[in-house]
Amino acid sequence: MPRALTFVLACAFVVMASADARELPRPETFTLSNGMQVVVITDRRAPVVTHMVWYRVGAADEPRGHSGIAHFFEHLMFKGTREIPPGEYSRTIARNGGDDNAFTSWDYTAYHVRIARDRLDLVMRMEADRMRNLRYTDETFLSERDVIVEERRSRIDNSPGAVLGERMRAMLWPHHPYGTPIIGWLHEIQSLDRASAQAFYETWYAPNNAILVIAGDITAEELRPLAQRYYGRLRPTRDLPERTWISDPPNVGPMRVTHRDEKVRQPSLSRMYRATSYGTDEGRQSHALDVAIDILGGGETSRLYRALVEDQRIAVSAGAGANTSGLGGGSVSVYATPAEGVTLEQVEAAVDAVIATYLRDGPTEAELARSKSSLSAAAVYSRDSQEALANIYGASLAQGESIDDVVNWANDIEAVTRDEAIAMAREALNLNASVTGWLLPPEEGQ
Amino acid sequence: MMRALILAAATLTAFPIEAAYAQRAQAQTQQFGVDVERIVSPGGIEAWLVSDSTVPIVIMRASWRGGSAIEPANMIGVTGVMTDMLTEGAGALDANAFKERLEELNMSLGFGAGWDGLSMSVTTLSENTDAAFEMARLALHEPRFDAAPLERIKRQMLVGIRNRETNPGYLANEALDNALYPNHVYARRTSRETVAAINVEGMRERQRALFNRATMQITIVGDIDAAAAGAAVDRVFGALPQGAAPPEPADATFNPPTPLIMRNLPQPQSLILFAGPGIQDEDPDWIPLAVANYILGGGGFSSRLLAEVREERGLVYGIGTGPSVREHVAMIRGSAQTENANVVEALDVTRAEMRRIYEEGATQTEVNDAITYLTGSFALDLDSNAKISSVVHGYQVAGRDIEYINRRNDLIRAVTLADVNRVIRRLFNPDAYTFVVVGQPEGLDE
Repeated sequence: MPRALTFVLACAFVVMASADARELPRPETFTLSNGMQVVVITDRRAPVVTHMVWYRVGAADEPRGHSGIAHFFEHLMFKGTREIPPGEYSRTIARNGGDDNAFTSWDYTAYHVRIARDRLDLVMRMEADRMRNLRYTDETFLSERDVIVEERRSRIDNSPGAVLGERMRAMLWPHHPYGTPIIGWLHEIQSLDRASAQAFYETWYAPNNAILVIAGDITAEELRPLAQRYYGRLRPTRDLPERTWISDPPNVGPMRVTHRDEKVRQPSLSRMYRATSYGTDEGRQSHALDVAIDILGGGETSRLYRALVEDQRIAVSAGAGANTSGLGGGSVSVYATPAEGVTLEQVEAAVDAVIATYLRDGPTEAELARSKSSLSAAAVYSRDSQEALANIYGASLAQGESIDDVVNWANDIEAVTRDEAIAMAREALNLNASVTGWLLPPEEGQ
Repeated sequence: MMRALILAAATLTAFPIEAAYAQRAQAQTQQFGVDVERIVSPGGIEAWLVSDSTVPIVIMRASWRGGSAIEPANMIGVTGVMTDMLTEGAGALDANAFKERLEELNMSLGFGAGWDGLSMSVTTLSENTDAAFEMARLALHEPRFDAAPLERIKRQMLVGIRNRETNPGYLANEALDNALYPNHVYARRTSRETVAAINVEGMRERQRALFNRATMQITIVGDIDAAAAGAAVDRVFGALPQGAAPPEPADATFNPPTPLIMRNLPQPQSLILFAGPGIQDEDPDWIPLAVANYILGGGGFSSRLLAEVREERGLVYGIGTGPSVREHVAMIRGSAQTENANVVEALDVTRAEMRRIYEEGATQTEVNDAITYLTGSFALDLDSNAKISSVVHGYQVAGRDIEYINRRNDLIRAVTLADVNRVIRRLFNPDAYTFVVVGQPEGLDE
């Protein structure tokens, strides 16, 4: 849910550290006296920096009935302070040759700037200012609410697949806040008011709830005085609330939903299962799940693609993905689009058969080795991008991981055994904790 | 005007630091350069090399002139299928074995076909360069063009042809092409018939016709020295014949503009696409156009269109403009999305803003701000090997000289207000633009 046009991949546990030569650089860290955590990843290749402030607050922390307020607040953060007139934050960054944006997930809200190294104190001054001193008018509030309604229409309401996804999440998490869309339900967005926005801001936007991640042409020693000058003097929130989220009753049976829309030309199948996540698991469970699901449905060498698309020729796409990055739980998604003339019943039966075989026999040693190698190699590739590294460390820390967890991630992936992968696949791919969605055109005659 | 001046003054008062940086920090990114070296392989093939061993990754990009614009009219789509098929099995490896090998090597290899050319991209860990470049050689010289993957790709294309019937972007572009240059090859599309006609003989003919040394351009970036890069170039490309440049289609001639074209699509939000005649990137006004476009609609939150249509009125989430160049047509294109009920107002405001800049021109402040952004942010596009390879290869394909990347900021800094206003008079006349609306706009008649 970024504020503007470019989409930033926030959390990507698949691009992370690996063993020996593949290891990610361990960042330098320190903590300011007001509780703000600082992470520095040095990359001297270009005289630029990526400056990110991650708040440990997201859509899952919204009061019930106020869905969308976390994302709305992400937009309001650009609306000015006592010192910065409305809209001038981004214009000032641009006038200094920088790019800025922000994004919101269920677990965090992050603000990022990419700019020349020697403009860093300007950025830090403005970012620190808006952490505690935001000001905007009623008119601005209402106009930005309209922008967010348009954003919702672009992302969700115009897209039958996105509407189906929203309905499926609401069933998979009937009570837990992960069942509520990040951008909010339309009727609740339209009734958001300034009082609830202000309360949300004052509670959560505080140095003791924030992580500063800076990657690029700077070291911790160079950064420390700047961090202290701009962020160190900010007042922390006393009695910062614990992030406790209501939980769901146990899933007791498979759920199904059909969504029909005039724009659908080719039907498609999707399914979501409840699963573990790095924020909730013990030991290597999420690592094992990542590997297991990669083998089942990651790319064109996966079980699902080979069986449905290549061997049986009944689908034009098929795959699966594990979303294990959540602070409060994860999910596994499975999808398939039938070839022309093939029904969703046929495709779903074929998906179920592939999964049943996989759960019975588990992966081959060759599949296991290939998957682990691919996942851990992504760590090396991520070293090419200061922006990617800042995103990995920021998201992981905001989602309950430690620096060690991130640095050791590739080693832990390499350590996943075949038995661990099978066990996690069996635990996650449980139809009784799943929602199956069918996307279809309108029924004949309607 | 008054408001803008007051805002600027307020910003300077609040952030004297910014004024101080206006000259100084610019110098830092100004001095930043990329060392691009011209190498000639032992086999006599020229390539551009950026050697940097900071990250153990090597990226190779290559391009050839001649793409889908010159493919046979009875086999539209064959060029793209041919390039896709290069990674669907080669040498002794069938499609599955080939893709497994790519995974085991943790490398990516891809080919693509555009209207005017072909491209290839290899990304590998430097520890695997030999094996990775051997895979690239195999794909380029010994593709199998097996029946099974060909039939799969065709099945996928047929579903794509169905799905595009309700894709707003596809519909808008099709309407635009048919309005502006209906008889030019750029208005051509695949159909079920042309996809069915694609066969192995057609692919082999295109492969032989297009892959040769005559128009080949190669860029290599990363952890590799000149000697190794030269050997890699010979290994991958050495067996290609010299050949000749392919034939070129004629330049497109524009029909007169159509003020409004509508396409019905049942969705809550409409897509607005607009386009007028542009200029090629060798035109002397190309650089001033970058500045002018930033001011009108390219500069994100700093652009006039975003300020008026989004920030002031809350009508859209995103709106933007930019030059769009193919070998035989050049346009300025823009797009926005807004609720069906707001289309009339969004169109009115967009046209009014274009008319205002067309009649009044830009201001010196806007030009200064645009130049500061465009020059200062350039280093942000050069902070990773992946980005450097993309920018350098883009300049190479565009016919720029090898030092252009280090002169580009000087060219932008030399742009004057008169240059910008000349370009605006030349290219931003709203009466020269065709507007397409896809959706169910209210109160609008074609």
